[in-house]
Amino acid sequence: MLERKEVPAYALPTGLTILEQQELKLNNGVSVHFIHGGTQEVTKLDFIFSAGVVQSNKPLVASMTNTLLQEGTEFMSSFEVAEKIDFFGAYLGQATNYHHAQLTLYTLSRYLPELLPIIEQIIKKPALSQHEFDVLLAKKRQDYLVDSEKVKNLAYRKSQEVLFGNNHPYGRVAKLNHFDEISLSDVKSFHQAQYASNLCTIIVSGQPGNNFLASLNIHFGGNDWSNSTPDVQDVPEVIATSEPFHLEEKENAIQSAIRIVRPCVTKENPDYLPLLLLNTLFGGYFGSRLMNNLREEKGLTYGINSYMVSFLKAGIFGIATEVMVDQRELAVTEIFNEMAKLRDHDVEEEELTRVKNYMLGDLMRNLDGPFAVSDAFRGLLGFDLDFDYFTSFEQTIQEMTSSKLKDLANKYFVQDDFYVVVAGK
Amino acid sequence: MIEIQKYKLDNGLRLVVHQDKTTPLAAVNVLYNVGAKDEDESKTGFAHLFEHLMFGGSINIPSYDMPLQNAGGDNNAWTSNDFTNYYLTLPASNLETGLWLESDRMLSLDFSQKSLDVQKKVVIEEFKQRYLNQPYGDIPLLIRPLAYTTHPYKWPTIGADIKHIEDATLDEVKSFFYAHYAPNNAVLCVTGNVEPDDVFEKVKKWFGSIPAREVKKRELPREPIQTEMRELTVVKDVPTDILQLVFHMCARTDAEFYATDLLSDILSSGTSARIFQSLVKEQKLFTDLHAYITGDVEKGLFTFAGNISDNVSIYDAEKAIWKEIERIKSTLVSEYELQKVKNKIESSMMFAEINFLNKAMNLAQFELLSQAEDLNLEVEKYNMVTARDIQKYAQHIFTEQNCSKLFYLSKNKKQVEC
Repeated sequence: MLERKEVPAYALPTGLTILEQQELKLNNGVSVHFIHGGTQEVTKLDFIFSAGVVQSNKPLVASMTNTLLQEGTEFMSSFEVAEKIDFFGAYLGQATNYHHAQLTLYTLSRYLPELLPIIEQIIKKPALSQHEFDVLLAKKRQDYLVDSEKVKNLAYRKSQEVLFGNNHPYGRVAKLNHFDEISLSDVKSFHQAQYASNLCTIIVSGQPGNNFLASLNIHFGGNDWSNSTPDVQDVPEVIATSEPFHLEEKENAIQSAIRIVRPCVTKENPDYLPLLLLNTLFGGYFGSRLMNNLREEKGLTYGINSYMVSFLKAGIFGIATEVMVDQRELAVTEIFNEMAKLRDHDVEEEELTRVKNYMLGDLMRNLDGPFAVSDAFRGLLGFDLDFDYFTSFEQTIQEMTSSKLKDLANKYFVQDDFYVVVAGK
Repeated sequence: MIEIQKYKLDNGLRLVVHQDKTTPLAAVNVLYNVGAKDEDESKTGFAHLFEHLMFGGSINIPSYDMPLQNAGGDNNAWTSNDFTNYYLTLPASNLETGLWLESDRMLSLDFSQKSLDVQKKVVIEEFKQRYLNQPYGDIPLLIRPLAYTTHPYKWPTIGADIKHIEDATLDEVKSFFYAHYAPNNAVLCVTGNVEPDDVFEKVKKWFGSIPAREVKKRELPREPIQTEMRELTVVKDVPTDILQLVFHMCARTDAEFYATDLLSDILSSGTSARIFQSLVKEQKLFTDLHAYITGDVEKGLFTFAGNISDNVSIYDAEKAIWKEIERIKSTLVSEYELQKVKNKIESSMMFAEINFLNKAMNLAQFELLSQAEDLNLEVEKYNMVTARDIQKYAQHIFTEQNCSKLFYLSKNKKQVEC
């Protein structure tokens, strides 16, 4: 007879196995981080520049520049660039954040020789034409207006403002008038200043073949694309608001979006990894306290989560959810109640073990395969950290105790340290 | 090329196993042959609500999530008009925990009134969050009943009306389970760092004793052939106008599917594609515009969806789409353009083979529709498509009487005279 009520024996593998990595350099000194692995003959290439919001003095400039790069070069039209990339079945993506901007190429490795010359032109000699600028700006403006109708975006934007103030790059959220204030010349000078070899890091992952470094050197190893811009990542002083509650009213809202946030430590702080564990238990996975209380017991929401973000110079601990408008106060109260429980009571061993095991499995998932490791490496860029970070993370999980969790909760789950931001009603 | 082993249990459960030694993890994917199309018209949204209930405890195991999290696992599920799919990943050494959990909820659920009451509320909040409280979120609720008059694809998986979810009873939940959830109505796929024979033994152990069930015979009403253009205009408090044109197309398993998919790629895959270049970049009529297919098991929809630029009339923008349609109906696509979209297919299939969970989902779907081995023939099938096939199919589906139009207008936008 099958013992269906009994859990089958299970064990967690110990000792993370992370794919082999190499630190390489191009002839001109550009760092190339190489993660070798995978069964398919495919490659992911990240070109990362110190060209984020922090380095730009105007809203929208960093992201407009990054997106506009692939819209044509001095030698190829926007259509020709797009068509070549499409023809080889490749995908070129881009992203901008506070401290960096990146271009990412996914391709079958055999087409790297055809694609690298195009990427070289995109980075070094983009057309940055008025026509493409106008088309892109019109699209971004419409996207912005549509996003502004979503309560969760309104709450997010307000929470960044509240935490960092309007003059700080982390708190300087885009406004509609910014779309009228940006011009093509802003983009051109930003490209000239920030997209240079001395501000570039390359990450290669997958199975790029034996000659990839030589090919990269041909296109990116010369001294033709350096400049004198220093790699500055400094940010001004944070000027947070003192008002603890903020309501962004939206007529006709059916649900209200809630963001409850506080300033928090960055990845370099010794509390960061232990806090990740507290965060997971509190609101970071499906079995979390917040999900159990607000979704599975009370049915107030489709989902609720807590999260930690670490930018280079500051971090955030936050909670985000969308709830029916008339239940919003109950939701906020319950979120703080759950914090209080973690301050006042020890976590049971059973729950702690479950969170630890879930996180160990999650760590394996997050470092599975060359592209995942490449993303993990990118997450450490700019911090004074290396891959030992993940071994310490594993160790931190394994060694966590309920009394350490309680201490952390008493240090970080202080209601007065949090801002409550609501968008909707 | 994905290598697989297949087994079939006496109770009808089909098992597909694919070994991938490059990951320390394993995936368990259970695909049930039931979706929103199997719902009663007066009780829509049921398949999806049921998906939520599958996490509310099974006959021998009070919590699905906790033991899985203990074993380092994570999981989720989705419901479409055709299928309900459950998947989990965990360290490969703990595979048995996943099989134990999935087999118990295939055996029977706990059917608790409390779980039903809470999940009804959760799904109603999901309905609001995704469909009612987002600009344009209600488009699926508008376009489906416009395009389908009879076939159950006329409602979206979330349901046609919140009231249907509110009214669901425990008895209905039970009969839905026994009518659709059965080993003989599911495909189990296991991928990752596993040994196929060992997987088979463990699957036999946990799933072998689940009885085969009498699955409700699927008798879907046929959608009558559309004979004239349909049109719906709504005016809402949204920032900009959106236009959708939808055309009836073939089913996923029809031979024409590959030509249809490439037709949508020629028009819209990548920024070099036709309608993006011509209508967004050159003529600036749209700020964004896509053409895509549903890929449904039954006859699906070919959709054009675009955001109209400020100061452009939605009716002028529509005319421009018809002009592109005329072009592809009257002129053969060039060999280069055709090769481009075929290369993209090959490349995206290769990228899809990187991830073991992705492979598990794809293999399960192919096994349910025909056989898992066919996944390896996909690239070849796309490569067989000719420019003439694409033109013929475009001529076949892109007609006015096969078209439904949705004009989703912004209350605040100054409507341009046409």
